[in-house]
Amino acid sequence: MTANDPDTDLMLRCARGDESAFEEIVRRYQGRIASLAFRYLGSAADAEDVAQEVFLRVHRARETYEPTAKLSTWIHRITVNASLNLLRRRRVRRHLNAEMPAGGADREADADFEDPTAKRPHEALLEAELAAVLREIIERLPERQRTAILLNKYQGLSYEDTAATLGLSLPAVKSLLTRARVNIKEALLPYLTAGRSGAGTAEDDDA
Amino acid sequence: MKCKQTSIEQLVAHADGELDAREEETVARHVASCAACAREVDLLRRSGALVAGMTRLTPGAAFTRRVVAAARRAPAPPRGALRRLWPAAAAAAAVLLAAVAARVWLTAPSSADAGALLTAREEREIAADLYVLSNLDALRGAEAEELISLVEDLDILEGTEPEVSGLFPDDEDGG
Ligand SMILES: [Zn+2]
Repeated sequence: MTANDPDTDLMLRCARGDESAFEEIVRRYQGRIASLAFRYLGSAADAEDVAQEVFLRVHRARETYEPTAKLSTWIHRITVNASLNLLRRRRVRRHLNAEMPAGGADREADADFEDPTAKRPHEALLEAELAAVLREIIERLPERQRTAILLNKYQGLSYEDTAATLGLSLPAVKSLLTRARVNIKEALLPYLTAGRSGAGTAEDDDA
Repeated sequence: MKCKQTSIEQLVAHADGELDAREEETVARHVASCAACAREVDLLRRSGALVAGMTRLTPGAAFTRRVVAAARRAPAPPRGALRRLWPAAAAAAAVLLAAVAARVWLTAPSSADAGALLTAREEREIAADLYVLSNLDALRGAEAEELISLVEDLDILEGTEPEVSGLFPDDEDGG
């Protein structure tokens, strides 16, 4: 399962105390891990905190690391858990403190990290609306569907790696992903069918 | 979906390039000749591409330095010592759970919507959350980083919600 994991060597070097290997792991994963946490938490600051905690856990566990799972699977799993834990703690704080706004107070942070690719104004407007709608759809998915779709489509993990990360069978993951994809597609239908030029990002290959 | 010749699961896997060669050939041939399925695949691909293209964070070199420095400050303690500390952490968490739970039960009804009493489900949710809260926040105050990490790992092991414990049953330390 891990014979072709390009990160195994890196992690084994890290386990032997090679700090430059740890640094390389951080560099290699920090964008992916912070981004995934961001999708759960909606706040860049929280996402970076979670990412740091994930890497510190990897570092703490480096000497006991056994390459029975891909490094990326392991790191993604820790990230999902840490993000969900933080989300739950937030929910408790809201219960304890009713004045706290019910979610999404940090949403503006999103804008700071928007790709600065120049867009014509009407396109930018449409894309901003679409981005907001999509964010909300993902947020409202049942937790397992949301995690599966984020791992597979947002993080680009294969079905097999998504299944390994979630500790689920391949058929179970296929079924989760199918439900998630149908939900997302249905919710986006007005945008996908309006004008047909709205979603310029789609691949256009014929089957 | 109107077409009965393929399943939606097949179309999703086809759109993702995740079908094995034989099934892919069959599905691709069908999609090429069926307008309904072709449209479905197109919608799935485009909506999938939108998810893939959602905003990303790009922590830079400063983040890398911060993490590496933090890791240096906190060398991994020997596993044996950690395991011996564990029962103390569990006991502390249990005591704190009770304490914070009492507080929530006192304050939550008035702060929840319209002063209504919490439903049984809400109570369960809060109790589940409290498990995490009591572990983390209180133990953090105890300045015992090993304990925190241990209890955080325990959240994964024991789970605070059935769904999640089923999803992520393994400790990342590999047991
Ligand atoms: Zn068809």
